Amino acid sequence: YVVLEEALMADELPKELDKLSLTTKLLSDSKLHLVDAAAISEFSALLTFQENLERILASPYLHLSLNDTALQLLKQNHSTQANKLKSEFKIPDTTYTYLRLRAWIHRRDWPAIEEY
Amino acid sequence: MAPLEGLNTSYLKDQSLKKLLNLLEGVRGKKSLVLDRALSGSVGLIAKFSTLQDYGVDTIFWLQDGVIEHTKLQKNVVVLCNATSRNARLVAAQVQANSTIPGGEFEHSVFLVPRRTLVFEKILEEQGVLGDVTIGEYPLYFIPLEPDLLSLELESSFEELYLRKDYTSIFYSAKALMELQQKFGLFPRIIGKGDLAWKLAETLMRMRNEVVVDEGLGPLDLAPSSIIENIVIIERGVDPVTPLLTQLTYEGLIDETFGIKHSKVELDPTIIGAGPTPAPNAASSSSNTPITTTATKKRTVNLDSSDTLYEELRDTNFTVVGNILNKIALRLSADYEGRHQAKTVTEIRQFVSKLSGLQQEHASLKVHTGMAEEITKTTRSDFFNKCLEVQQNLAAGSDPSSQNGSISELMMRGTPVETVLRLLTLESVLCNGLRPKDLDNFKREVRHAYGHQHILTLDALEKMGLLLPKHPASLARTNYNTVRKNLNLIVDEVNEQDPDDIAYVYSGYAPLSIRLVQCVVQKDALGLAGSKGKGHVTGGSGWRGFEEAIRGVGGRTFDEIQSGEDKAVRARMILNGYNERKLTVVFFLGGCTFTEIAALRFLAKKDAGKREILICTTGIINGDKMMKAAIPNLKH
Repeated sequence: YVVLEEALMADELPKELDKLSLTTKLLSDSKLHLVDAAAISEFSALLTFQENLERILASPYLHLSLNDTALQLLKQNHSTQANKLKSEFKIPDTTYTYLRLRAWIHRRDWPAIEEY
Repeated sequence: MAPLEGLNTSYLKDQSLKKLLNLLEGVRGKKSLVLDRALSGSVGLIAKFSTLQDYGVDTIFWLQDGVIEHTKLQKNVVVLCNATSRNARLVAAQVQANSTIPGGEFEHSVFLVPRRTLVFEKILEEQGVLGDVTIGEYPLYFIPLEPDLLSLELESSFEELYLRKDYTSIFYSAKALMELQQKFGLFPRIIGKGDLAWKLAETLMRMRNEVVVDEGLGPLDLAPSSIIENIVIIERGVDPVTPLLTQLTYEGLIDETFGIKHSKVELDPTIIGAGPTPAPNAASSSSNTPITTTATKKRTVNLDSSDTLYEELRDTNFTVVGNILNKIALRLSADYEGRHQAKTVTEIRQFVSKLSGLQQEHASLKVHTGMAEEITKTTRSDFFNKCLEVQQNLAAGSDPSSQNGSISELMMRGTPVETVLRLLTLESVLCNGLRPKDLDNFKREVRHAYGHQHILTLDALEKMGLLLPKHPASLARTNYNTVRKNLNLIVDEVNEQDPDDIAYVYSGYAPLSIRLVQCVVQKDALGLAGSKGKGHVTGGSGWRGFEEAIRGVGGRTFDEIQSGEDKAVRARMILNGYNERKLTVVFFLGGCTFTEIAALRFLAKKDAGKREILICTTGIINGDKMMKAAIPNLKH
């Protein structure tokens, strides 16, 4: 956990990813915290995804939570990216629906809600 | 609030002030005071900036990252800080920076609160500055927030005790209680609940012996008190549920919405109206410093019993606050109208003399209406009611799985993370843990909704024993299912207007901690209210009559009698006169909430004339603060 904390404190993304993978390795080696290990590898995957997004869309995404990332995407009407995120990280349908609703409300996209 | 008859606590304040000023006098000439931010509130409660100025303090700085420019400093630098390692590094950096300045011969004195520690000196030594610094200590323990409320103002005591397993605050608590004992006599009976509470009691008893030996006191000097009947020590770990629930008294809700710090609250000027209504004492020493005035535009409002209106409102359930405010507004306007009736000169003079009081009341009414309005905005919101519903259902012991849907929904809708964690931990504590499948689900949802850094948070909560997979009921933990019935924690019909039971503070749930206190001091009230119909349990002291009922409560139960020599006891009685009114000290280890304070005051009021209650705590907490203890402090 100390390593994880360090990872979160790291300034640059590559360093952070390194530390994260180190944590994953340590945890899965010890076989005690398999759930956490999986969570952390998911975290690094999310970070990479966000880095991609930042490059493509040129707006800040790094270090948002998963739901917030999706929400942000939906708010800015990047539904393809959002769908990709959904399938890649297995966001449950109910959650996704809530997020879509929140995004529509934010955009005042009433027709979309009506349609839904 | 009227001071307690048996025991006057204001002397503590005077004493602390005197000690502080003595320390300052010890440093010659004009000086700059560098203050630890964590202490600013406490010091502000004790001393006013003008008093400090009288004692040669020129300016006040915060002890924080970065070095203060030497040109701003006086030759004498006085640092007042908690003895943490972080502070030690800061002090060292400052001293090093100052010593490089040519021609500037600075004198540094560091006063550690509440005592000097080896670690602190070690760090200074490592940095090579130990020789350049005079170290002293400033033993600041209890700070009276109100005549009946003493606090150590150790904000992180909960975190230290349960997450870091750091028991320093127990030692400080014992020290503080010892100070009380030396002044007012031994607590004749120490009653308590919880393993850590027992540790405190042990420390306290050992300390008593040490003091006797160290100072060569005769038996007369430390005899059982004739004013205090007993002390009840309750540990936070015994009853984590109470702070996790949303507090529903006025003061509690102010704390939940705005956050009260050192009995002050910072408000947006828009809330209280931007009129020129100088709040009484708002300009205390801490808010006068050059740094804060530039940094914050927020107005500080003092919340204490000097404000008579607040005094009336603070402990009432929030549903009644509107009515009271309305009534007072009407009365005020009637009072103002009084001027038309004034005909003769004397009548007019009478009115004018009342005027300043009226205006003051008017101002405070304005502040409180503003705050109440703001709180109503929150309490009317969908989120708030949903949370409350979940909380009340859980507390009442309904099937926890039926609430899971609501909690998930709240998460998806982006409720603040503390709120959700409070609900989760509440469910875990109340039901002896969550089902493993649900727990994993929730963990995943928290991670997804609030970010992966909360892996650490969840782990910390587990360490604190607040979020666990389903486990069999054990003796070490409180089993709410049995306790709920035995101690009658849930009261269905609550009269919020005119409360008849402490359950009013949560609109139906009576705080377990306070029920425990009731077991000791107010047996018959509980015996009658008890759903099991125990009948009258009168007589008997300590836990007697309730051993069975409190078995479900976790942690060690203890009841120790501190006796002195008979002669000494009798002598003391003759000296002080026998006191019919009894005083109970209630000490919360790990912090207490405003609702608990309200409930205890309610108990005291019910027994007015027979018993007084002095509330002592390591600090004031609420559920959000408990959760924040677990959330790692990160840059993102």
